[in-house]
Amino acid sequence: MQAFIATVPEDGRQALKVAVGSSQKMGKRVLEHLRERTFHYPSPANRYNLDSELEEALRALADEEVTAVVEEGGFFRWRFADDVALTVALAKHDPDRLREQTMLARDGAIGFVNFATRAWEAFAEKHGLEMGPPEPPAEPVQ
Amino acid sequence: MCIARNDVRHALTQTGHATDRDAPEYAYWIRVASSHYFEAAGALRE
Repeated sequence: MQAFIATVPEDGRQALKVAVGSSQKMGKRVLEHLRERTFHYPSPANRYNLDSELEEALRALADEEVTAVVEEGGFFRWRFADDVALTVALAKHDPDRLREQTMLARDGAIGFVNFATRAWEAFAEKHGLEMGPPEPPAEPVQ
Repeated sequence: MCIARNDVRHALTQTGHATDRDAPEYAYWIRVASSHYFEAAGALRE
């Protein structure tokens, strides 16, 4: 793996450092907490203590208005549910570093995308692969 | 890695679109983008 990474251009290797380093700079278990609270919903049987976290989030947002946003086709989205979900997910974030930690996550995510893109390009070049528009369909047989 | 790249990139793109439109799903895409990034960064370290 290290040998392959060495073939990735310098900007790609820098992106890799950002991708790995940003999550570490955010603080231990901050992103892990967010991930677990995004892909798991509150349930009494859940191994995460989501019910009490949900209760805390609801208390924190108790003074906020309950709003829904009307979407196309007569559907609507519960904005308040999004707010509650984000509050639960960000519980491990440091309130004094919230903006910094959010920027770290964004930069790290962008770094990962850039690294993966460069890595693919290096792999394709090494193996003689080419990317381009699809070939036009063959003429129908008369 | 290409799977993770697609997931993270799509979530980032949708976060940007939601921000531009001040759309309610902004918070959702923030959570999804960060979560996929967490998984991607973990895979890089393994």
